[in-house]
Amino acid sequence: MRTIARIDIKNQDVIKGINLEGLRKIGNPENIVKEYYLNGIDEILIIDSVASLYGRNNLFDLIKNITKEIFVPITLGGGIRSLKDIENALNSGADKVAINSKALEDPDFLSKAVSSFGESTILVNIEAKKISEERWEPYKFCGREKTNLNLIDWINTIQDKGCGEILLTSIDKEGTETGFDIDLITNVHEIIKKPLIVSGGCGNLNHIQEVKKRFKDVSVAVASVLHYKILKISEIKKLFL
Amino acid sequence: MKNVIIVDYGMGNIKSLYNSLKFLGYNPVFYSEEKNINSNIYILPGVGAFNQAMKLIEEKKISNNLKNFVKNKNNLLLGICLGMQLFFEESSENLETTGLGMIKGKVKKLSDNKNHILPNVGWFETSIKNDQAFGYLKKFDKQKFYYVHSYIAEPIDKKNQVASSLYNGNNFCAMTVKNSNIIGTQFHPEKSSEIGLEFLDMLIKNSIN
Amino acid sequence: MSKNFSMFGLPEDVIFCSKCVMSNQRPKSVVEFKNSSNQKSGLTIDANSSICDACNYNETKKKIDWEKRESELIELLDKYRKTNGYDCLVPGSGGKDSAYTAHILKYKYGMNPLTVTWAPHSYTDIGWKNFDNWIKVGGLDNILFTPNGRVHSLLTKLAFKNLLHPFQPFIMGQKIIGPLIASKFNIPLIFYGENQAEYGNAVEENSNPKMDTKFFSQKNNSEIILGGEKLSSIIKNYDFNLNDFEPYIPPPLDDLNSKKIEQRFLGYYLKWDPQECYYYAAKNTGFRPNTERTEGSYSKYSSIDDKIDTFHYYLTFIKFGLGRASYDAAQEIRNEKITREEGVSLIKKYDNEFPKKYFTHFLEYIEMNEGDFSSTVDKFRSPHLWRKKNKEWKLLHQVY
Repeated sequence: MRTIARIDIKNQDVIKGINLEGLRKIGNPENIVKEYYLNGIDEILIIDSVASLYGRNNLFDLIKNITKEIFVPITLGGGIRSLKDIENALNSGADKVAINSKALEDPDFLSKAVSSFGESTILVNIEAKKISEERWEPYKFCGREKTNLNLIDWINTIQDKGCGEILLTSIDKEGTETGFDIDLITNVHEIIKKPLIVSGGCGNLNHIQEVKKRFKDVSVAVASVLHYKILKISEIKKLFL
Repeated sequence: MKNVIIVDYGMGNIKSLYNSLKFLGYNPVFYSEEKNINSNIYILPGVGAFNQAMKLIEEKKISNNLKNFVKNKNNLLLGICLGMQLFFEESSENLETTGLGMIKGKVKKLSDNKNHILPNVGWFETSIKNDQAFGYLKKFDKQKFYYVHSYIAEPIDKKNQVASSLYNGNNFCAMTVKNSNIIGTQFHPEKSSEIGLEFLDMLIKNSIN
Repeated sequence: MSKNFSMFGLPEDVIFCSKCVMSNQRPKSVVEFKNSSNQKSGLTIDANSSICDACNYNETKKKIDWEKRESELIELLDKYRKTNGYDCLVPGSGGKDSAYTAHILKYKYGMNPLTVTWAPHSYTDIGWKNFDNWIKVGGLDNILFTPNGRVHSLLTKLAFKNLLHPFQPFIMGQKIIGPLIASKFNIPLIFYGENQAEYGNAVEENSNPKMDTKFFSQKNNSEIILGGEKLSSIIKNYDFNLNDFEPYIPPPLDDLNSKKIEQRFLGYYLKWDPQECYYYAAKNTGFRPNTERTEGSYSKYSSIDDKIDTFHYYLTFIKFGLGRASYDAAQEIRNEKITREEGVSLIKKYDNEFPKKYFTHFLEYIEMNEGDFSSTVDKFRSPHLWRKKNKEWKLLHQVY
């Protein structure tokens, strides 16, 4: 069970929103990534939060710089829309890419990506919003656009088309520090065949412990608790010793 | 500064490897770019499918170079992840493919159980065999390294297995050695933070005397 | 009508601010219950610097001694604070601004506010949930005032037809309900969030913590104009009487003066950042953003409680060439959340988006069919902004 730092970036700043909204600046990306690495984070997930909105990818330089000094797996997401984007991401030093909106628009892209770059390189990023009891919907463009799909159908599709891992973010819980969306994870866990990373809502150690207790083999991605210095990475890792 | 050649046949995160070697103070060079550089250390990386990797290696006519390279006991060939698996005789990944055949044994899927999650991703405890030849690795026994794979190598001769890790209660080969100069790790030392870098450094330093 | 004729009295030449994305077509606030001819004056853009009043004010905002302003606030509140009874009134919907205003006054500054809500035309689900949370999670007393639906929809229809301004009944009532209720409960201090002057009304207005009484009081009932028509005509032509318009008639100034009722802006005392209000509200009053981005913009946290609201912004796009994305972007540029370049890119993407989601609902609300809706809208396309080319309307001046 991995502890992954989720770092959302807009231009030159790490940002942290609530329910995937808001651009509150937290600090300098390089400093923050380095800090988490030195404190023992297992993996780093970097999301360009406005790549899709503005149709541009500009985190490659950041990746180039941080990978000179940081030696844990790094996943880059946000605006990955073509095989060229994946190639650029990997050439800059990323180990994996996270794909969301493009996959929703063109699921076959996942198959192409997997056959070109290897399954373990491709991570699918799902932003899930609860729409009714026991029903969730994946969203596009950082929680801004509906897809009218059923989350369970979508997960089956992506597992079929090919992917190495699945990152599942609860839009409803994200940034609220009120705990992971246990209902959501419960619903999904039964049909999951790939390594699952859950994200959204962590506010304290109990939240992580609850996930660990209920679900086997699930990794957690956290943001607020690290950015707002609520928890230390060492405290979280102690839970998994 | 010691030269290290990264065999970039087209698969694997060569950038990470390059960066980690540079960080450790080596002079990493890409095989495809610098044909005139001499080095007695080759690293074979790999992320992706066995059959694709072998296809590329054959196309670029690298196999014979590697096989000749390891004939000299002063040369070290280090394989990482898929790179390590390529040392073996064959793999069933996608289709039956012949490997480099340097180590006896086959590569097969980690599990056929539909309930088991694949790829195996994460930081897992690695047990290092108590072996005089690798006494310098003792400090890494029971340390966690980063793994990401769906296939494993199974050396026929147990002497070729130097470390192991667990997947759903079963042991698998985490590190292989042949003739002391062909070494492979299933895990990624270049992605295993400080402990990984230290491991990589020690491996290189102790293997090329 | 000359080719360049400007329908609402706004400048014929369209100029955009070089710092934010607003243009000189952005109308300044008017006294709605005196609004008969839709004549407006626009945002002032300095001829030399090309910088608008709102951006200029934004610069001065950075130099304000906010600590001093906060002590002014504390001094003011100390005078009004009561241990028994309401000592201030906060009109609002439970959206990010009023959520912040009411909650911080109560829980940080120890006041005892009564919140009062002038109901939206039609609550969205998220709007209702946020309103409910404001009261129950945020912890505040509230009076929800919902006007007579028949009157409200008539006024909306008239305002749409006569002024292309369907949101007018909401805006009017929103400014009046505070003093109306304050008068009945004898609460002399009313707090709004931010001063509209921050967005480009007269800059001098920003140095005044109080709202001009002209916006919420009057001296003579007979002068009242609603939906572009005289109140007296409305009563004559439709089956209503004076009683039915109670919430739209601003209280007499004498009444307010005798009770010493005044409206102040919290934004004068505390540095205002709408996005930070969102964070505060999300943390403290159970505020949740919209489920998807609001039509006409990229944002999810601003103005999301009324189904009619998207039409308000779509029609500002028709009348002034400025849609919702323009308004949202201008604010976020000034508060340094996005760059001007990004703002322009967002406007390009979203500003002219037609609000499909509640279109049917809107047509039903104003009792119109699609054809009449379109022809009414077209009547308000000022020649200095719009030209018809090949059966399609083209906006002549864009920020990009």
